[in-house]
Amino acid sequence: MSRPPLYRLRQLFSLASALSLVALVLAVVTAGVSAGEFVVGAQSASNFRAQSTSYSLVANEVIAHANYSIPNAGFYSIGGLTMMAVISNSSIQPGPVAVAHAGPVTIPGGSHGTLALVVPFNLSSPAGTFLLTHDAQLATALWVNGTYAVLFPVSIATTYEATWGAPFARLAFSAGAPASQSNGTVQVAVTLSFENHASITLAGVVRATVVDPHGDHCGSAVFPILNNGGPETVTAEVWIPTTCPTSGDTVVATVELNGLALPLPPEPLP
Amino acid sequence: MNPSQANLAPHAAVHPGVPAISTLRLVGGILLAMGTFVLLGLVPYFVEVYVGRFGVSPPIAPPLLLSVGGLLALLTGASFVLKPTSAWGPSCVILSVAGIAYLLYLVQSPVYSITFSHVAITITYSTLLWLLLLVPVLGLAAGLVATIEDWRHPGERARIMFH
Repeated sequence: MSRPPLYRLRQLFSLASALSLVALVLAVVTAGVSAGEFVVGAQSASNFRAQSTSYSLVANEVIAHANYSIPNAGFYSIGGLTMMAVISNSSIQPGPVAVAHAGPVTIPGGSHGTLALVVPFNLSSPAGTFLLTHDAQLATALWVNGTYAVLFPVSIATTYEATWGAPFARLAFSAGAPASQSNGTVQVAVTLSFENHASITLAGVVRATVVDPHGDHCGSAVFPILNNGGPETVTAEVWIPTTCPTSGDTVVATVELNGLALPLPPEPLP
Repeated sequence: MNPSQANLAPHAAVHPGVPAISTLRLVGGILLAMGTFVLLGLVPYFVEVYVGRFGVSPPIAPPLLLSVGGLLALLTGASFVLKPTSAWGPSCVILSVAGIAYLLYLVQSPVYSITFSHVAITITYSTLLWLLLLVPVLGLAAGLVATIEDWRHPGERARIMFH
């Protein structure tokens, strides 16, 4: 018997409904299995900490490069994976000290992906100036968003404390007592000491100037600093003519690195 | 007397060649209803209760899961039992509307949240729910067509299906 049109239409709808249900159930079951594989593979990962971190000094910013390696042992892809980090320390300033974004990246099933987070710390800001010379604990809030197996948007949020090592920790600048020289000049020894707790190379110069009480320049010196980490003490001599009285003079200095100018506190001559 | 007519239950729609609602069909309907209740009611209920111990906040209250699962199970079983009759189309429509209503309720808060230590994980399944809506919507279309078919040509569908 040939089937009437309405019968065939009803059959078509019923079949489409059943096939949709089967397809979706299969998708959910396989996504669940794949997600289980992903979780097992990810448990050996970093607990949401960066696998590698490096720092660089560019202009007036310290750039922290944090790489997060994300294994996807499942067979479905993770799409549109993004990361956002907000770093703060309420004792330094109320708002965030730094904000960074990474992604989006897509990690196919059975492979690894990397989210490269670039965190700029503006050293010209009040918080940046503090962080130049003070170690600190920075509260880091991390958000990771992505879509698993096309169907399931996932969001992960976590917080942890990150340790900030200051490039110029324990910064001390001092000026020695003026010493008259046989050639008619006066020598003032200036000493700069600090500890580089940051994992960055500090390469630059220190410009030291002796200024009299009227603000006139009596003499200056430029001396290099090069430090890859750890303590550093550099001493230089500023020569000033005898015509410039030393009483009440002050040494003002600036550290210049890759476009960053860090003024040091004025140091009166003893 | 036609042997098939001798076996007709008194409440069955009487059309030549259309089978009655047999005891076997009733038993099948009950078993289908029980299976549907297990799948849509009991399993989600126990899953929610179990994962709730690990800090997962359930998107739907477990008692509501059981209630809605029971209702859908009843409608599914009834639809199966009524298949040889002209009430099958309307029963499919009611079942599909109930399914659509349930999914539209779930889609308002389609989020699973898991919190442990300093990590919070949120999984959204709204896309899945919107796709699942296809199932009852197509079922609704099938039910409407069956209703029209049975109204315009009484008994024709059942004769084709059961012969």
